[in-house]
Amino acid sequence: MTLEFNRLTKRFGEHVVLDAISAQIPSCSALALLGPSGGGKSTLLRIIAGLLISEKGSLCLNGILVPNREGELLHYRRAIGTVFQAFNLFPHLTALENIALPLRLAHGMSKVEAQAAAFALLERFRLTEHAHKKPGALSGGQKQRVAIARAASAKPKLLLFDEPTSALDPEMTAEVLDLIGELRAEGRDIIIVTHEVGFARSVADRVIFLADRKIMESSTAERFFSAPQTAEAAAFLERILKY
Amino acid sequence: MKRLLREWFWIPAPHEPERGRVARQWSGPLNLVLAAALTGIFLVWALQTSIANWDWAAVWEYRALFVSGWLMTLAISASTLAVSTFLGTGLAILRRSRFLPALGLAKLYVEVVRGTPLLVILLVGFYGVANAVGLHDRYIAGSLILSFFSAAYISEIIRGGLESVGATQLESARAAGFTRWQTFRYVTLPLATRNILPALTGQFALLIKDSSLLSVISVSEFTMNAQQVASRTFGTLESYLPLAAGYLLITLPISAAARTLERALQYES
Ligand SMILES: Nc1ncnc2c1ncn2[C@@H]1O[C@H](COP(=O)(O)OP(=O)(O)OP(=O)(O)O)[C@@H](O)[C@H]1O
Ligand SMILES: [Mg+2]
Repeated sequence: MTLEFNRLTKRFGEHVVLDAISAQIPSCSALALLGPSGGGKSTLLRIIAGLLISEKGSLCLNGILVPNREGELLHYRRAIGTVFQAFNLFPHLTALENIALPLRLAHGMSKVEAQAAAFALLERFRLTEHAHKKPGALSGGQKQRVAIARAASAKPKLLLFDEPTSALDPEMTAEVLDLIGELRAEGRDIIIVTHEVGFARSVADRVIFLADRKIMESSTAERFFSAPQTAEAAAFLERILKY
Repeated sequence: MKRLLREWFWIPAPHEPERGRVARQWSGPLNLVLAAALTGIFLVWALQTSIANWDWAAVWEYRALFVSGWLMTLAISASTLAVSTFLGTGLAILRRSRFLPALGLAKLYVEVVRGTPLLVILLVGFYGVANAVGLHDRYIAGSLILSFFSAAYISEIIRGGLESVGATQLESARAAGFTRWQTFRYVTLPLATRNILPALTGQFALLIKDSSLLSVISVSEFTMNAQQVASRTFGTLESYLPLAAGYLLITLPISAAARTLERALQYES
């Protein structure tokens, strides 16, 4: 994938979260968004996901301008899978229905096809025995795996993750990260916001470091982790790697 | 003995050990029957004490009046439930609209109607508004006025339900590529319905009982007919006890249906 930000600006009320950020990300397949809390990572990811519309500026994904009208964004979003931190599954639907419903409504599958596809995915993610449970009866790790299965179900070329493991214990974190690694190995592009620097390091080939409303640094993962260019990035890495 | 009492009359707190299966299954019905029996005994005692000789025969003469009144109340209730739910949903949507004039109008309507007694609304609505627009059928006019009255309350209940659906759910739906209609139909509606049901059932019961006020515009519904029977037979309690039973006959099935639907929509968040 390639990404290009052009003076992209996002405000919430008077509060400027992204201040005319510009960057060109050359071809890469896994991009990590890193930075201190409140730096605007989730906001940027939501704009890339087509869930938020920026006030000013533009964003190109794979050379194509991302639309800034809700009606056109609908089709744009259907080609992208998004996973949030809080495993936003629909609480009134079973794991199976959570995956099958979007396939039916947004991707034109019949009910039978959607169920079959959803079941196949659950099987692959070792969740078969939980297929008919509602989210309230699933553990955090199981919920997040179902959420990832849902995001990957329509075989989107690009998958977005916003801190997919920050609400999980280490064992479940490992499970979920393995799954993301698998999807990446399958050839899907991913953009991930994460505090798991080790994982970012092993899976990402590009890094964007966001802090203080700006893109402070945009470089290859190798260079970013071995020789950060800005003092902020160096301090961030040092803080986060301390424990 | 102590254990037996606890098993049959107490639900254990979450930290306490579970009860046996038989007690768990049957203590509910047992206690319901006990409560009903106690209430019945008290009622029978009170009624026997207050009236020495009951005269059911006189009231039985007028059974047709009861039946026609009950059927009228049933018809008014059914149409009013449907219309007021429809109007209430419309008002709730306006209340959440981002178009300011519509929002203001809906707010004003709800506040004014909720702050005015039904009696006044019925009289003004029938002799003022309905007459002005040429609607002279008191049954249709009465049902409509009642629907408009109840819609103000129902819209607030529905608005609360719609607002209880979290932003994260709506964002998930958008991320999954649902259209606005699909989001409403498959996410907002089922989640909100679950939260709305208990309050809505209560509002429906109120509405059914409020229909008795239609007698002020001479709609001969259940309560009015029972009053007529009472004045003709001088059998006050003999007329009003069937009245109570008749209203319960309408409200209890609605409660039961709502409870079943609630259970079907159950989820843990
Ligand atoms: N819907 C919103 N309304 C108002 N302010 C918001 C909203 N969403 C985010 N913000 C603000 O924007 C800033 C950036 O938020 P964002 O969630 O993008 O940060 P983040 O980098 O993801 O942080 P974290 O690592 O804690 O998740 C924060 O100061 C936050 O308070
Ligand atoms: Mg965030």
